[in-house]
Amino acid sequence: MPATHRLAAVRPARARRTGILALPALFALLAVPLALAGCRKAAPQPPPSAGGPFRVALLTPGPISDAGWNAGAYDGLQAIRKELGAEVSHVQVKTPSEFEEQFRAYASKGYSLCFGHGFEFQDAAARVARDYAGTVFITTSGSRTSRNQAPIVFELEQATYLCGLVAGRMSKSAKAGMVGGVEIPSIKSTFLAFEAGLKAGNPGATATAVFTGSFEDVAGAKAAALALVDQGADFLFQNADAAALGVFQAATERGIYAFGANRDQNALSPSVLASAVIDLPRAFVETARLVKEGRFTGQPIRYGLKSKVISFVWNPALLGRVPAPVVDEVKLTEAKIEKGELAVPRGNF
Amino acid sequence: MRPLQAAAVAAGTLAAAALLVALAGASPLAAARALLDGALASPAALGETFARSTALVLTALGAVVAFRSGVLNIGLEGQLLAGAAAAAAVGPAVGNLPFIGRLAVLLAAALAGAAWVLPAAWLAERRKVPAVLSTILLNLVAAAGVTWLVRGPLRDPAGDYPQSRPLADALVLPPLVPGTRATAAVVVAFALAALAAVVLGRTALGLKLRAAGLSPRAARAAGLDDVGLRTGAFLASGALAGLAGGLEVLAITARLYDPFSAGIGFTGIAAALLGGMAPAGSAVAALLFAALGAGSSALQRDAGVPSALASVVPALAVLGLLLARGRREAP
Amino acid sequence: MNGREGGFALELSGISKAFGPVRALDGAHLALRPGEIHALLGENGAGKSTLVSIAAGLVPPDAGTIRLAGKPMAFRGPRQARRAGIALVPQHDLLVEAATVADNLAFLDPAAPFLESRRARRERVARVASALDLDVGPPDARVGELPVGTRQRLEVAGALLTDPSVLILDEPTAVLSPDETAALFRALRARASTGKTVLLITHRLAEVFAAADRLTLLARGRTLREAAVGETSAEEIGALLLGSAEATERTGAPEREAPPADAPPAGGVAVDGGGGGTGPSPALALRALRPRGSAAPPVDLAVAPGELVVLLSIDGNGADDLAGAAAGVREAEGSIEIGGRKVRPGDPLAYRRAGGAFIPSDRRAEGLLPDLTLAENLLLRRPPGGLLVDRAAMAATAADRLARFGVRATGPDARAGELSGGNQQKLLLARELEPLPRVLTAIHPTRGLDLAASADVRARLLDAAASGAGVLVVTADPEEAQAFGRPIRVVYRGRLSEPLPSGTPFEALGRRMAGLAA
Repeated sequence: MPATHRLAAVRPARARRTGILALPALFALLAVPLALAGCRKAAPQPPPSAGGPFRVALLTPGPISDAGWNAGAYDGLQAIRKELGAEVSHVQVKTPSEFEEQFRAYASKGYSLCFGHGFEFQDAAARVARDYAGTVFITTSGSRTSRNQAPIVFELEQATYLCGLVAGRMSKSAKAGMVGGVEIPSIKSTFLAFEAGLKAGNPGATATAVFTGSFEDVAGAKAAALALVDQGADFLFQNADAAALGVFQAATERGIYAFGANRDQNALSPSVLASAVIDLPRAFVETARLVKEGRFTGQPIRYGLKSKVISFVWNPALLGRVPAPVVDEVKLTEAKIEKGELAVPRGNF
Repeated sequence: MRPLQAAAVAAGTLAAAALLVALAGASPLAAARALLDGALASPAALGETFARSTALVLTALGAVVAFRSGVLNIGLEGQLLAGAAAAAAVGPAVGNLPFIGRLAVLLAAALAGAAWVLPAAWLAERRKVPAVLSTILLNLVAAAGVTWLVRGPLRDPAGDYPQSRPLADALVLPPLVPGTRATAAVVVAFALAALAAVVLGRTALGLKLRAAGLSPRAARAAGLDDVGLRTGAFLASGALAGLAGGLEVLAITARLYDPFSAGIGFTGIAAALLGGMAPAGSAVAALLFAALGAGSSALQRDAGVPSALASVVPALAVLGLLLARGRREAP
Repeated sequence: MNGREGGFALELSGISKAFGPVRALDGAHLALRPGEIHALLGENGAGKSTLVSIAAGLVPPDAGTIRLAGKPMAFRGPRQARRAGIALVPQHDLLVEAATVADNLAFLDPAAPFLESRRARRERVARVASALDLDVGPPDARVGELPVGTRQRLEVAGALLTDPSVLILDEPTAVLSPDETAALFRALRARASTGKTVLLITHRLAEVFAAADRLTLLARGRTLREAAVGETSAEEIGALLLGSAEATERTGAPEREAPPADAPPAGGVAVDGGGGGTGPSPALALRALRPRGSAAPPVDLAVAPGELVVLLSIDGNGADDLAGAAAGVREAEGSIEIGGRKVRPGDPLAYRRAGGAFIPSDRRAEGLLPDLTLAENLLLRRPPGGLLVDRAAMAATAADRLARFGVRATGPDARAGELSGGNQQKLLLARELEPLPRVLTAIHPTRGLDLAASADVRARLLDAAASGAGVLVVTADPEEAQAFGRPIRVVYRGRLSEPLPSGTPFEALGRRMAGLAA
């Protein structure tokens, strides 16, 4: 009988209290190592890179079989091996966490030069550069610099300015369209230069920009291009990566001219009059040469028309249709830019 | 017979790995060396292994806590992303007070990881939607969410690249040993593994969780609140994964990027399975996976093994390990 | 003594088998003649299940020989044994719950073609039902929704599909009504008369002496007695069984097999006292309670403190559901009160909080956690200690309780799944009866247990009632119902009979269970 009353009495009040205590306890546990960790310490141990062979590493964010951005960098690395007799190594990295890991691994093995192929490598490069003064870190595009870190800056604007100049001279409607992928500063900067060139060729001409929000959406780019043509544009510039195909299709359908960007896209479509081209392998070789010869200063490395890394390339199949004065003017302007007599405007990024 | 079989399995996997490496035009011996060097041979390599292990240990613990309590939480990857996103959102806002700031970042990450579980928990208990299904779907939502955040609200206005604003340098965890990437985050992860081992094995709560996991029906009939236990374990599991994401931001990336995690949450589940669903075993297995990960990145770097293959070789090693273990356990 | 003309259908001799440190069989012998029904008897843990598992090729023996029709055999698996003509119907069926009767029967038929039309599968059901005179349920019914008895007949029918020369049935009658049992034995007899052999594992001596030709008695892994049924008596075998059980199983139970008569226990109230205003509030009061999904009328039932009420019914008549609803593990409409306190139906936690304890019918799936240790099972709700569990205290408390409840095990750290059925049930009692609950609901608490273990469980339940708990017991076995010596209420299609005295004749109970007589 008494057992019946025993039952209701003991609820585990203690267990509940420990439950409530557990949470702060847990955070206390977390807090200890975090507090002990303090702040970032200054970094030691820069391994000297002097003496041994010239070693160059490349980190790409994607597969080198992409026939584009990553393939160009890999070709550059191979050219460095051949032309400069360097030892080279390449890794493809997937997440930002791996960026730093690989930079660190290369630096600790005494590599003289590490390329991070893209803006996104800046943070990781900066963190490792602090620890390894003997290694130079180069990111393709970006802005962060230090004693042993700098970006390569491609002055593609110099070539897109020439595209604009051609359009300004040849356009009958005095209207040009520009199709961009995502609206980011580097793309907008090329548009800025194109527009400046356009006005240099025909002060009364106007350019309209459209961003489709995607570097892959071919159909979207085509629709945007057709809309621009409907508004009267008879020249199309683009900086839309793979989506450029849509712009070329629109130009072919309406029988007008378009320009290629980044790569030599002249063969892609009968509508491409000329291309503003970046020679990635050359940029890599020139940069490596700079570092090898001890001329690297920690300043951004700029490549424009003069270096031949950037070039303006006519489509040979269409060159016959371009009035001779225009071809001559382009050649003349090119020379002015190379000599520094003409400054092409570029965006601040 | 059995050791022989295990040896045969190990030899078979090794041979397969060597063949693949050779077919790709690299030297199997150099590959083996690179694998070892990259994982263990230097303080930097060891630090790399430990740095990689942090998130793996925590997601493995998340899997252990959930699976042992009868919740098939396959969504650790999504919960990790939620935690990382929360850390990247809160981090830049807390300025540069190291202690308070770090705690706030981690608290936000853990809460976000747990919050990411809530829809799945609600669907499981109220609508009988299997957690496997809902958490897998939430993984996709989380990945899409990160893509949107780094291009939209969290985007760093400086620069082209879609990434969030960085945390203040004072907040980012420094390495325990200079020149390595192993930070206090590693200590946190292994301390939590020890804590999980104690909670699951030695406390009344752990006993009840295990009971609910073994048989919800029997636990319920015996008077345990199986729904509450399951839900609590589910949330704790999400919080652990969220914490993994938060620590990844705090210790390594300092920002949110678009491809933030290459399947850490899934590898964590694999580690938990390899570790026999015990916290200690899973922590060790996570360390093994981390070593293989660090080793495989060295495969690419030092032995010239192509990227795609570099991740296949450690996968083969794990497969061989599981096979050998399976053999041993077969009746 | 067994070698009459040597023509055994199946003979196992010198069979030994050890599982780790446990010797399950130690030179056991079993010989079956063609055309006989043979009973295999023994206490829980005597090795019966292991022996038939060896015969059916499920488990290889460590030593010994198996001869099928004189030919030595070494089965490498159950398929091979089945092809050789030995079919086993396990105690717990292995049917696919989500599949239909027709599909399950097709799964069980080794001769079924790889692809088979739904019609062909349905026809098999009809064929089997008429040829074997077994009601296996409607072909399209899902097996999970069928009563246990039907499921078992389905499994038997599946075993008979290949027309085996030796059919082994492990505890086939545990879940059957008297009528169903009689029908099953008729079918088995008809089978034996065609020269086939039937081996029956059972605890029910009455069945052995009514239906079997010969018997083999196992004790602690050895063959204790082999005899024709006519050469021995129920009394002799019963004594041997109890003797062997007591020799191995030191029970701490009160040795009180014969319960007191029908007089209500001290402090109890009249059986039907339900909502009456007299005396203390009932330990358990069900008012207009109807398990969800049940077509039966709502039920009113009260169990007073100190009272034990037996619900007797054939499976599928709603007694299980009703008791499950009372314990909160089944959703229900109506009201439940425990000690005068309202408890929400369908909430086992509320039932527990109000002081309820529960022994489910399926002790392995719903009662115990087979993968946890005995100590963990016992102290699941409230392990001793503070922040950390005090393992020493836990082991000591558990060891003490295991001893007092007569659970035979290697120690409190053994896994519950390793225990024999009887010991598992005692373990469950040890958990549910301490501290003494206000009300205990027990469904088939002795199903599948041997005589000694059943008696022990009954004594414990009566003891709990004597200490003041209200006890509600569900059973399908009229003999068991009588053995409690307490009022019996027969449940037929969800309807409760008036309380019947425990001395009600067996036949009268059987008729009521079948719904034949008032």
